[in-house]
Amino acid sequence: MLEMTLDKSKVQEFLRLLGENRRLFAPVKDRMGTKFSEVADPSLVCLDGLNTNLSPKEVVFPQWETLYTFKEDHANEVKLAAQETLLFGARPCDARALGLLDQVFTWEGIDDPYYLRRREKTCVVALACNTPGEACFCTSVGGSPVGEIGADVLAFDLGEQLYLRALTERGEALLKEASTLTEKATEEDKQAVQQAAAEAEKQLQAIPIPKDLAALKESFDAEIWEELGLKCLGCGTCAYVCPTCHCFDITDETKKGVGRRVRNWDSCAFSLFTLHGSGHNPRTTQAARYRQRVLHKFLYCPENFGEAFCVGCGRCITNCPAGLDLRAVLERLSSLAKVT
Amino acid sequence: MNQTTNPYMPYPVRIDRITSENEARDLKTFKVVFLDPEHTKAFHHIPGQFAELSLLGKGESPIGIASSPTEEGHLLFTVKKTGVVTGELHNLTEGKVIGVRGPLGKSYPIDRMKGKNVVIVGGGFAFTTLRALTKYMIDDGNRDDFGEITVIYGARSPGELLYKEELKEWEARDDLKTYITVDKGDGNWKGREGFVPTVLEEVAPSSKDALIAVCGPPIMIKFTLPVIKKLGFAPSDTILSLEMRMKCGIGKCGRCNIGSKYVCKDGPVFTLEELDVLPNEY
Repeated sequence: MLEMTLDKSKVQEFLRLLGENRRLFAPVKDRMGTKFSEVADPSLVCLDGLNTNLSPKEVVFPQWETLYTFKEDHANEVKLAAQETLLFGARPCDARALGLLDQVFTWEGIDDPYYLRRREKTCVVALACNTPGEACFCTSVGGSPVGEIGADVLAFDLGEQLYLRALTERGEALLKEASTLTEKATEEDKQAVQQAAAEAEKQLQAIPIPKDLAALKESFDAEIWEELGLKCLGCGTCAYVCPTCHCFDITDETKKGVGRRVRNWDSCAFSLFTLHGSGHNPRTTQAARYRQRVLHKFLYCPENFGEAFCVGCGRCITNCPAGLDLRAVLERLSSLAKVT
Repeated sequence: MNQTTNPYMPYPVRIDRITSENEARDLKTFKVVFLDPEHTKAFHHIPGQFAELSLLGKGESPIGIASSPTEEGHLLFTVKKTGVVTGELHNLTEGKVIGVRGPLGKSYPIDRMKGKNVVIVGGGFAFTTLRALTKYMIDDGNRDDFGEITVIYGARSPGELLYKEELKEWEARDDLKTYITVDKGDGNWKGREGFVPTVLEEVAPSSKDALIAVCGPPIMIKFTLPVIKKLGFAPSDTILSLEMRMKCGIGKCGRCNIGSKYVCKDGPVFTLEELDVLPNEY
């Protein structure tokens, strides 16, 4: 296991070097906070922020992408090549989310070529959280502020320097490429990392997560959804900021017979999401739609993939305009589960 | 899925023939032929599966495949004029090129039906994949694999029955029992009048060594299921096919789920036993 340190004054140089033959995505400041963007100038990279408003899922699953182009009745495949990409500074929850998305886009042997072309070329350097945010609850959903899942390299901010631990062959190759800028981590560094990890995990409070799937199934008809549905505005923000939400729409954009078929992020919170051509809609109320979002993550995904599709990043909590707090919802569902 | 490369790319097909199916003229059957013979070879469907019909510039629509794989060289789709895609499809003329993406989803349980009696119950324009199933079972080479075949099919009025000429052929055959009914006949109608559940109860096919496949409008399903139960068909031998709004058709886009099941890949064909444990959200 390769363990290196990088003086923080050299981070820009490090990114410039690795970005020479890669697309570099990292958090940069914008007027709304920090956001993962393609970065040409590493001096703009901002590693101080905690969770960005939008997760970095768009690096591998863009909000909008062309599936193919067409002219009249002839469809043309688009080239499915992708450039080597470095995703730098994703938090461990976001890295873990990529591992969950991988399962959907390769589910039952059907590979999604648009997702995989990018994912396979993406090297993820995750940055451990020394001080988790107020809405964070990663440890309650099986994650960790210093988790390694989904990442190729795990980095720790040790104040004056970054500690970098290679987790995969791809990560090791990346660190070797920049070896002129780094030094071997000392025992002292490793101890400091251990201490930081222990302190970070200590700061997170455990919240109850409903894990009894049979009881969750029973909750389908519970009154709680009516009440939550009255609060939910159906704006879809939670799905857009969520690192594991992956529902998409496919639409055509055309002008005079020339156009493209594209896919865009979508949300189960929208009333038209399930509207049939006949006018029938299986989810006519916001209560049903809010229930779908929560149960998809905490019941249907555990049934299909063996784990909940929530990494505890807290973005849906901080960004909900109606103040819906998923932690409170989960707590209530857990107590429902105990009763039934 | 046959497409090993890109599951989102449709196969180009030419509309070979368009048949107007009903008096209201909002149901048409499109016979399509693959432009590339390699695609004809690659497309292996089983009755009950569906495909996304693709109109570039308009979108895609999931439609059950109405032809049997024994009808080689072409596919049939019976489409109701409903929205943007199907509306445009109804405007097209023979010779036009459209796209077909599939086959998608799970088929009727043909293997389980072999050696058994099979009862087909259809209503209105939901008869399409049941037509594929029936056609498959009665075609040369397959008929002996199945026991008694009973078809009960009804529509609102004589003009709304699909595949009218073919139904006459089926009625004339002695290796399947065909019962056609309409809710209300017209001056020329000499056949049976009555709702599908009532006719099913009168015909009373035996549930012994038998499976029953039923497709129709929700109101017909609602009144038919109790009759099926009364006849003694087990939920595991009662087969239904669902509709749901879909986009990708391959279990990615998250639109068509009922609980943890995706209609596009776990269905559209389900047994009543499977549906009974799903949340009531379809």
